Amino acid sequence: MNIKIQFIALFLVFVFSKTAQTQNDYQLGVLPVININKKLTNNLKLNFKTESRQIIYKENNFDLRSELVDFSTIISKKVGFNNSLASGYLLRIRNNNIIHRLIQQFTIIQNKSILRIGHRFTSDQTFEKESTTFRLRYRISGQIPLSGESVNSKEFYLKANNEYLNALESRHYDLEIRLAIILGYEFNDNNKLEFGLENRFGGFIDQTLKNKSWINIGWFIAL
Amino acid sequence: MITKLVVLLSVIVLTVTNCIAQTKYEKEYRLHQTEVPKKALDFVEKLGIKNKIKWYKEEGLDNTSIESKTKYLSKKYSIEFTSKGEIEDIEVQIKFKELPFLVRQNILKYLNANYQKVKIYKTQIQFSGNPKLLLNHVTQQVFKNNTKITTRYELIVKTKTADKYQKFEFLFNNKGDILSKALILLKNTDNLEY
Repeated sequence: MNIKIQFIALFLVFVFSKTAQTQNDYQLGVLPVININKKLTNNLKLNFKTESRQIIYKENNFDLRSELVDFSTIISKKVGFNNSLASGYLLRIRNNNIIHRLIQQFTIIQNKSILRIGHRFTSDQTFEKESTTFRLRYRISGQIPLSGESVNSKEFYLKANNEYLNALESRHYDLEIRLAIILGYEFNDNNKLEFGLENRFGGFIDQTLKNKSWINIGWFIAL
Repeated sequence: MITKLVVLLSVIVLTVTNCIAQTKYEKEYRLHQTEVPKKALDFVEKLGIKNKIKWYKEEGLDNTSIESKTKYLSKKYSIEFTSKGEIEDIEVQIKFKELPFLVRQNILKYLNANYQKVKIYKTQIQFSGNPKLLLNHVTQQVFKNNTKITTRYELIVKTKTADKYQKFEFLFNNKGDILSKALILLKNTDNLEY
């Protein structure tokens, strides 16, 4: 297990340093997320998430500042053995402006031997003062334990996310691809801490490739 | 007459107690071959398996066991031992449709009578008994009823009842009659959903 963790740590350092070296417009930040979930009756579940974006490095300068804060609430209902339908609202505070977003989501969770796979299909509508953005998103996540055949308390796991975001804003279409590799630790089934690196690639359509890296720190709590 | 009645009542009580859903809790760790009891290693060696064998220590609520997992003749094997290395059972993963027709029918009859909707995720044929006979039985790859070997079927099933989704481990005898069931605690998947 130690060798695996060392390998992952080295891989993260490699990805981070390589990206930083090759991008002039490289942006690096931290994404701390607290994710609180509460099971309700009738297969309903409530999710509350708060996320902030802290910029560390932008346009060849260390630029330490807070970019935005999000607060979201999503209510989901289990509609099958492995499927859930969800709907929610997100409030974003950026530069003293308030942005509203509506979210609709469908998730599928699959267990394939030691691999646990999550598919998330999302549509969202973001309402700003001057414009409205419509997005269609698909994210695939995979999780494997780093010891044994399933993740147990006080054990590490490895998670990878790959997401495709199609955005339409004022008749302008763009695609963003997100890739993340995350190391997680399960204190117990209701308390997990994750740390990893996420790269977001955008600007594919107008050929001005943008690359942003985020250090993900996630805390998942189930009440 | 009274003795018969007492025996009958005991059987009913035992059956009912057995069939009440227990909660299944298991935590497993990988074991290095050097940590495995010699008896267990010897047993697996006699099977002549050439594929990689993974060893695990399984901690349940009441007991600890040693388990080896491997692929043998294209099938997934799980061989369970006591913590001292005594063989407990051998489980071979098969497809549900590979079960004998009558067994399959009995199992489905039970599941459909008790649940609105079911989805079978895993089927294993479980052999237990005398270690020598067990070894012969498994190496010959003849999974037909052998009276000297106890054959059972272990199923992992997701069920739905009145808007409640649950996952169980069911154990059926060689005729497909229910022996026991254990509720499997569903793992939290919030970190894959949000």
